[in-house]
Amino acid sequence: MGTMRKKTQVSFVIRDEEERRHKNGVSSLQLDPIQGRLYSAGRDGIIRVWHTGNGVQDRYIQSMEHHTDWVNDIVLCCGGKNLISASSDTTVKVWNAPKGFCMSTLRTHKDYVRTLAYAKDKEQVASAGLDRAIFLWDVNTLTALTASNNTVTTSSLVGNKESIYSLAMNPPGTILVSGSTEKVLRVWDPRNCSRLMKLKGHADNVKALVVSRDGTQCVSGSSDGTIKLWSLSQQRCVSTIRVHSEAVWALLATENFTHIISGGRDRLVIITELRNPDNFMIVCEETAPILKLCFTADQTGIWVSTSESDIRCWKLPPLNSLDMYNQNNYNTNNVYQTQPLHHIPGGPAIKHYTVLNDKRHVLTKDTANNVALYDVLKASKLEDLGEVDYEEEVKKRFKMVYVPNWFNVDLKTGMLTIHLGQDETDCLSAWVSAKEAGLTTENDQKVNFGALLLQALLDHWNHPNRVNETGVRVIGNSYFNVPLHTPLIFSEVGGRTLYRLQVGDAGGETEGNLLVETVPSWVVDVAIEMAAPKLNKLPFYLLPHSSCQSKQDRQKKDRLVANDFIQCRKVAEHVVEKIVGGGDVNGASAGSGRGSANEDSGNDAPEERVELLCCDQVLDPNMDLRTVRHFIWKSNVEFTLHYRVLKQ
Amino acid sequence: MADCFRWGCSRHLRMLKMPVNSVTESKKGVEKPKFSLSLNRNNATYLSRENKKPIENSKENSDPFKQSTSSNKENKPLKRPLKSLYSNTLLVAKRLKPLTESSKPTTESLYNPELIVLDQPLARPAMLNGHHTTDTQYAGTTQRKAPIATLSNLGNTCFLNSVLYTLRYAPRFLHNLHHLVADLASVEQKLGSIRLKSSSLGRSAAGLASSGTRSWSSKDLLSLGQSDTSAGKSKIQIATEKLHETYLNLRAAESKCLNSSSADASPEPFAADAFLAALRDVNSTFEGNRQQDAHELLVCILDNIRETCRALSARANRLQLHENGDSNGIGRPANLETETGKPTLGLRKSWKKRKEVKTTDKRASPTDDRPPTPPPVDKDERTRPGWDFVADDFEGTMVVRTMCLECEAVTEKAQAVCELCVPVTDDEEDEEPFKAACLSTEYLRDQNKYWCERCLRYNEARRSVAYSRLPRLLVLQLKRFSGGMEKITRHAPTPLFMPCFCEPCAKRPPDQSPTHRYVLWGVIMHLGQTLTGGHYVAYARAGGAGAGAEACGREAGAGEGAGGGSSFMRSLFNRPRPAPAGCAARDCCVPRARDPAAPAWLACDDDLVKPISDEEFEDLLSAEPKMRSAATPYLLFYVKSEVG
Repeated sequence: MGTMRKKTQVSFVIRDEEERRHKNGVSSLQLDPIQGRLYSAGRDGIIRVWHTGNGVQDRYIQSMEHHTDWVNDIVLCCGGKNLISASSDTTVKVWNAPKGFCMSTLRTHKDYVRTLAYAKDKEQVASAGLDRAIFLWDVNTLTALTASNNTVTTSSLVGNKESIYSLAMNPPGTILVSGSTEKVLRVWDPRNCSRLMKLKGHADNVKALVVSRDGTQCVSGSSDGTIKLWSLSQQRCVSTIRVHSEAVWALLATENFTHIISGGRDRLVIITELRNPDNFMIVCEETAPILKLCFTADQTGIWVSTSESDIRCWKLPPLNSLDMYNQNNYNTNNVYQTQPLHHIPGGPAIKHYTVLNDKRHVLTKDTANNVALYDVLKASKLEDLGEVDYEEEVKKRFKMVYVPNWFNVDLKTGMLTIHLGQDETDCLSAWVSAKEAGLTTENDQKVNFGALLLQALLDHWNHPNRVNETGVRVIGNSYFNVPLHTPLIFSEVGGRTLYRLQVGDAGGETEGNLLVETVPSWVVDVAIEMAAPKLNKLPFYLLPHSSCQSKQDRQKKDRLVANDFIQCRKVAEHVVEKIVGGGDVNGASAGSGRGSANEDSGNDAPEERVELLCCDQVLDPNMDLRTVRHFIWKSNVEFTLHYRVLKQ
Repeated sequence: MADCFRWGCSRHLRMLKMPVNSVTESKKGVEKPKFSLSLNRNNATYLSRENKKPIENSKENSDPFKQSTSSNKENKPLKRPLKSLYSNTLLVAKRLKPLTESSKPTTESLYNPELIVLDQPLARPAMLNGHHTTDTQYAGTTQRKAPIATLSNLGNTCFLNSVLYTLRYAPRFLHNLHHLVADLASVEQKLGSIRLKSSSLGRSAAGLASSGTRSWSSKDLLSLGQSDTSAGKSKIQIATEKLHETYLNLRAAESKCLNSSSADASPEPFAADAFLAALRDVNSTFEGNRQQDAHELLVCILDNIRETCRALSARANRLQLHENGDSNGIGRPANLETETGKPTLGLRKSWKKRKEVKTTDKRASPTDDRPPTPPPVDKDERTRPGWDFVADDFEGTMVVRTMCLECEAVTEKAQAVCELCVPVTDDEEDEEPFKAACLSTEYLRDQNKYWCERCLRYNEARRSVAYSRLPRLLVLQLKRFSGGMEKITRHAPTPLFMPCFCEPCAKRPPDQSPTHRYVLWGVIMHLGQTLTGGHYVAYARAGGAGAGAEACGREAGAGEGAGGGSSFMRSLFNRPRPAPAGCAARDCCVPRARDPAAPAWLACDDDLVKPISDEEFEDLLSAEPKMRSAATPYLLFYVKSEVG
C-alpha cells in the first residue's frame, strides 16, 4: 500500500477481562425485537448486548470488542443476523450479531465515521463521517467477505462540502438524506447516486435525521435547537418545531410518521405531533444530554442512551391522548414519567489521571469519584481506593525520584489507554535499577521500562527470530507477564488503527502473520531481537567540596559521564577508587574491586567514606543522578556534584 | 504622477527651512529655548550649538540650496548605523540639488522610482487626491475666518503629519490628552514639594540607613523626586508631553492669526520635530528619514499615552499612600520600572502584556447566551489621575468562543483589541463591509482538531470571533499590504455610517433599531506601492474635536465629591470651580470650534490643509471619483454615536 508509511505506535488498555458495563456515553442503540435483545454502542469502544425481557436480573449478554475508539453508530440488519458499526477509529465493522464476533473491517473512511443509515428492504447500509464522504454498502456482500474474497465494491455519494454528522434512508432505499456542519440537508437517490436537492433552513449543525417510509417527508434535528419537518416532494420546510431549549441530537419517528420523539442537550425526551406541533409532551428527563432513542418491541416505550453510561427505558404516553393531556396538564415542569421502566446501569468513566513520579504508577479518578491505582508496567490495576481525596492521594504518593516520561495516557474511551511511541515521549527512555523497580533483589541490574513492557505485550508472538542459535525459544520478559486479555493496538501516530488483538492471542498463526505486517521494526528490535535500547548518558562535573582540604591538583573540574539512572553510591565508589584512594593509604582497598565489592574485607562502604553533595545538600546514596539533577540541581546545564571525604 | 514626487521634494525642501522660520517668528518668547533645542535633535552637539544658532540660521536662509544639503548632513543621527542610513541621507542630499536646480520631470522619475504612479494628464495641477494645489486661494479666503494651523513636512514625515492631524480632530481625544498632561504636571508639582521635604529628611535618615534599617519610603521618594526633574523624566512621558505641546502650538498659531491685524494672516506651517524627536527616543523604529507606516505610528502614540497614564496612575497612588501616612511602603505598587520608562523595546511588549485573557466555560445554548458585559466605566474613574483613556476610547473586547461539535460545550476567551484589521474584499456594494471581516467563524477539523477537555479527545470544533464591546473610537486598518508584497489598490467601500456589530447590537431583534452606530470622522489615505514609500494624506471631520470639553466632568465633578476620591485626591486635583464655559482644555490645545457653515471635512496634506465639502469628500471615497486619485483609504476612524 502506502510507500510513505506513518510512524506506528503501540497502545494497550488496562481493564478487566470482562467489562460488563459501559464505561462511557452510549452513542447508539438497536433493538432485535425477535430475540428481545438490545445492542448498545459505547464510547468505550465496546458494543454490548442486553436482554430486554421483564424480570431479568442481569441483562448483560456479551460484549462485541474490536473497535479502538468511540463507536458512534450501529445498525442491526439481516433480521438480526448482522450488525454494522461505525467508529471514530475511522473504520466500519461488520459483525456476526448473535455470536458477537467481528467478521470484517472496512477502512474506506479517512476520518471519524460518525453515522450510519439503513434501507431495510434492500439490506443496504450507508456510512458517513467527518471526511465528508458517504459510502453505500450492500450488506449481503459485506457478510460474504472472507479472508480470500475480500474485495467489496461501494458506491459513494459525492457533493458534501463539510463534515457529516447525520444520515437517514427510507426502508425501500429510494431516498438518502445527510446532515452536516454545512447547515443544509442534502438529498440523494441512492439507486443511481444522483443528487436530488439541497434544503436550507437550519442555523447550525444537523445531528439527527429521519425519513418517512415513502420518502416524501423528512424530519431533522439541529444544534440550533429546532426540529424541522420537510416536504421532500415540495423541497421545502413545512414546519419548525421549537420544543427544546438546546441542541437536538436524537430523533425517532412513530411507525406512520405522525409523531416525532426527540432528545438532545437539554436532557429532555419530548414527543410531538408532527401535524400539530402544539401537541407535545415531555416524556422524561434524563441525567445527561441524550444521544440516541430506540423503540421497545411493542413501541409503547423507548430506550434512551445519553453521554453517561446508563441506558434507561421509559414508557411513552398513548399517542391519541397527547392533545388532551396537553390541554389539561401542560406546564414545562410536567414530565410524563419520572421513573424508568427499566434501567441498565453503566459503570463510571475515568476522567482524571496523574502519572506518579516513578513513571510507572498512575492514579485515576472516575465519574463516580472513585480513585484507583494502576501499574502501567504490568498493565494492571493495583488497588481501588474508593471515594477518597484524589489530590491527597497524589500528594501522599509523591516520591523524590525522577524517571523520564516513556508513555502517554489517553482517557477518551473512559478506560485507561496507554500509548507507547517514539515521538515526543520515547518509550525506551526510562532505564531504572531493577532492584529499585522491585523486579529483582540483585544489585546492579538495570532494566528499561518500555522494553520490558513491549516484551511482555508481545511475549506470545511466535516471531521467526524468536528462537536463538541453540534452538531455544527466547522468553522476552523474564520478570513479569501482562494480563492475557489486554487489548493490544497498533495504530498510526495520531491516526488510524492498523491492528487490534489481545495479548494472549498473539500466538495464533493468523495473528502472527498480521503482526509481522504491522509491528514496526523498532518494536521488533527490543521485543524480539532483545536489542538493548540505548542508555541515556548524563554528563556532570565532580569537585571536592569547599570544606574539604584536598590536594591542589584535584581542584580542577572533573568532567564525567554516567548513565542517568546510576545511584550516588556509584559516584561515591568512583571517588573512593579513583580520587581519594589514588596513591593514598586506602588505595589498596579501594582498588580491590568494582561494583559489588562494596562490603568486602570488612571495609566501610564507599558511601560511608565519602559523601556527595549537590547545591550544598548531602545526597542519599540511593538517589540516582537524574533525580539529583531534577530535584536538587534543577537545571540542564553544568550539572555539578561535590564530594567530601568523611574517613581517610 | 511624476508630479507627486516633485511635490514631495519641494515640500521636503521647504520643510528644511520651515522649522527655522517657525521658531524664530511664530514662537516668540513662549517656548523658544525648547524649540531651538529640538530643532536639531539629531545633532549630538545641539546643546552647545544653541548660541551659534541664529548666525547659522540666517546663513542658511539666505542660501536655500546650500542649506538643504548641509542641513541634511547635519540631520544625520549619530546613533543609527552608519553604512546604509548615512549614505542614504547623503544620496538624498545629492539628489535634491539637481532636482531643485533644474526641475526636469525626466530625471526625477529616476531618483525615486517607487513613487512613480500613473500619468494624469488632466490633473496636472491637481494634488494626489484630486483637490487642487492652489492652496493659496484657500489661505486667502477661508482662513480669514477660521485659520487652520498646518504641519510642515520634515522629510518623509507625512506619516507623522497625517496621524497628528487625525488625532487633532479625534472627538474628545485632545481633551483627554490635555487632562493627562495637566494631571501629570500637578502630580509632579506635588512630588517636588515632597522631595524637598524628604531630602532634608534624607540627611537624618542617612544615619538610620547605616544601621541597616533602610526606610523604603524615603528612598522611594528620593527616586520619585529625581524622576521629577526634567532630566529624570521618562522618555515616554516626554513624548506624551511633546505631543500635547504640538497641539498647543497649533492652537496658538491659529490664535495668533486670528488676533493678527493682517487680514491675510495664515499660520506658518508648524514643525512637529520636537515630538518626532521625543518619539524616536521612545521607539527607534522611527529614526531616519524614511517613510513609515502611519498605522505603526498611531499604535506607538497610543501605546505611549497609555504608558504615561499608567506611570501617572502609579505615581498618584504612591503619593496618596504617602499622604495617608503609609510611609512604610507596604502598599507600594510593584511596577517601579514602568514608571521610569523602559524605552524602545518595552513598548510593544507591554502592549501585548496588557491583553488580559480570561477563560470561562459555559454551556452553549441558543437561548441564554449572554455576552460578558464590560464593567461600566465609573464616572469617578474618569477623573482619577492616570485614567487610561486610551483603553477606554480605543479598546474593544474581542471574544473568541470554541465549541466542541460533539458535546457542544463552549470555551470562551476574551481579550482587549485596539484596532481591527480588515481585508480588502471584493464585495463592492456590501452594506456592512467590515462586519463579515471582523466577525469570523472557522472550523477546527481534519488534522487540526480541537482537544475537548470534556470529551477528553480530539473533536471537531467551531471557533468564532465576536466583540462584546467596541470602543468609542473605532480604528479600522485595511489590509492593503498583506504579506508585504504588492499593495492591494482595489477600491474598498468606506461607508460614512456603519451599523455597530458588537454583540449587544447584533443580538437585538431585526425590528429593533440599534442603540448606536458608527460615524466616519477620519480617513488616512495612502498613495504609493509600499508602506515605507508613497505619501499619506489625512481627512478629518473638524467638528468633533472640541466635543469633550463642553461635557467635561473633570472640574465640575471634582467638587461634588462623588465618593470614590479620597480627600487627598480632591485636594490635589481640585481645580478652581470652573465657569460653565467648560474645562481648560478648551483654551489650551483643542482646536477652536468652527463655523457650522464651513465645510465639515478638512483635507490635511502636510502644510496644506483645505476644507472640503461633504460632496467632495464622498466623491473621494466613491468607487469612481470624479477627481481621479491613486490614493486609497488605509486607516478609517469611526466614532460611536448613540441613536435616539
